Amino acid sequence: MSDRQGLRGYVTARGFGPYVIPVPVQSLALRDYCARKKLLYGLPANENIFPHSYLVLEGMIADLSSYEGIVMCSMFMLPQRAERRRRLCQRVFDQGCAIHLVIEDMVIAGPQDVEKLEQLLVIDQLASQAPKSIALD
Amino acid sequence: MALPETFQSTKDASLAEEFLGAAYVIRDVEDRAALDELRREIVIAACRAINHLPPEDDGAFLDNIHHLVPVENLNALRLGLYRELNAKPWFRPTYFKLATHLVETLVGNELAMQNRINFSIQMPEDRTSLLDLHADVFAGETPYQVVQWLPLVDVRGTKSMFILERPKSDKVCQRLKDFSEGGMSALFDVVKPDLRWLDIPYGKVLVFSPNVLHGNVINDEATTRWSLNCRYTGLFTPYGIGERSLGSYYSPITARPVTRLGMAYRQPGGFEE
Repeated sequence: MSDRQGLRGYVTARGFGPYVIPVPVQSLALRDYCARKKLLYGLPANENIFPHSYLVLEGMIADLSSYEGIVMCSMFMLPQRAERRRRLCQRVFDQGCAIHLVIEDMVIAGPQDVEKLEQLLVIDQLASQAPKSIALD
Repeated sequence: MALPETFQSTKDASLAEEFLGAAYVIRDVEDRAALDELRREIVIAACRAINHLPPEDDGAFLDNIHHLVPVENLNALRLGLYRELNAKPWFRPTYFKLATHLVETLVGNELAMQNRINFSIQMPEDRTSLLDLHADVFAGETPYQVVQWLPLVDVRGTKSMFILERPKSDKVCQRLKDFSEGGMSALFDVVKPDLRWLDIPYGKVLVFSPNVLHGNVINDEATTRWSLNCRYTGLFTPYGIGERSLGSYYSPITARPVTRLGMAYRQPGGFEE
């Protein structure tokens, strides 16, 4: 067996994007994802609840030599600042790893995937600012 | 002395002082026969799960489970045992019996107990069962809880868990923000020299406050760690976030008669001026 074994889970009790998903339910989703993809699932690390803290995620990606990547429920769990997000993705790629996003069913494995991800996030942000209704008269 | 001037016995005061100093205590379990029987039930359930005959030496069987179960099947075994044992009506009461006095002295005698007791099985060199440096309060759990952590085999060094004792943990947690870039792994590097690797032989139980930093690393001992953990909090203390509150995570276990009477009391009404 390779030195790298499966995906390390990442969960958070904070709300992310439009979602608030209890941690046990996130764990179930991650475990199911790994089972479907036939990947070994590593117990998830649970992010701190303080807003804007990514201490656990930053710590987790410091050394991914034992894993093929990390898995989390959604792209909205990544840092909100694009620059920080890109830097984080790059650190994951530098270790030969990928980021698996269950809800979006995306694997972020290289710079091209980051562009797609960024596009999605920008569109989502713009769409949320669009008016819900327009007066027609 | 017939007329005491303090409310605590000397023994309880010394336990409280030790706990407040380090944030943990290790004691003999309060019912050794119950521990042996509980472990036997776990061993029998594990044997059933892997089609193995019940062993003569339960400790040796658990210590060497990595020779019988590949790491790919470890989480399935752990979850199977977690579900099976937590469905037994005796499991939580027996677990509580192992440290009743200890928990009641530290937390109170009206308690809520975690709904399910967690299983940890950490095989040598296994990287899938890591619980990095953390404090449970950081994830939204109540700061008013303790963890009863029970090894089913002798544990020491990396086969055990580590803890950062209270004054040091409190101090470093105050400047958590300074580690935003490097994250918890940078924090781990800073606190590593001060970590206590708990040496807990089978037959003893650890009770600690998960408000302090703690966790585990890859087990580089030759044998597998088996441990159980479960949380208790005072029934009438603030709970954590929704998924860690009464009902979803905790349930009352020792509500006292006066509390029951109080809860049942209904003020007479219907009067008119």
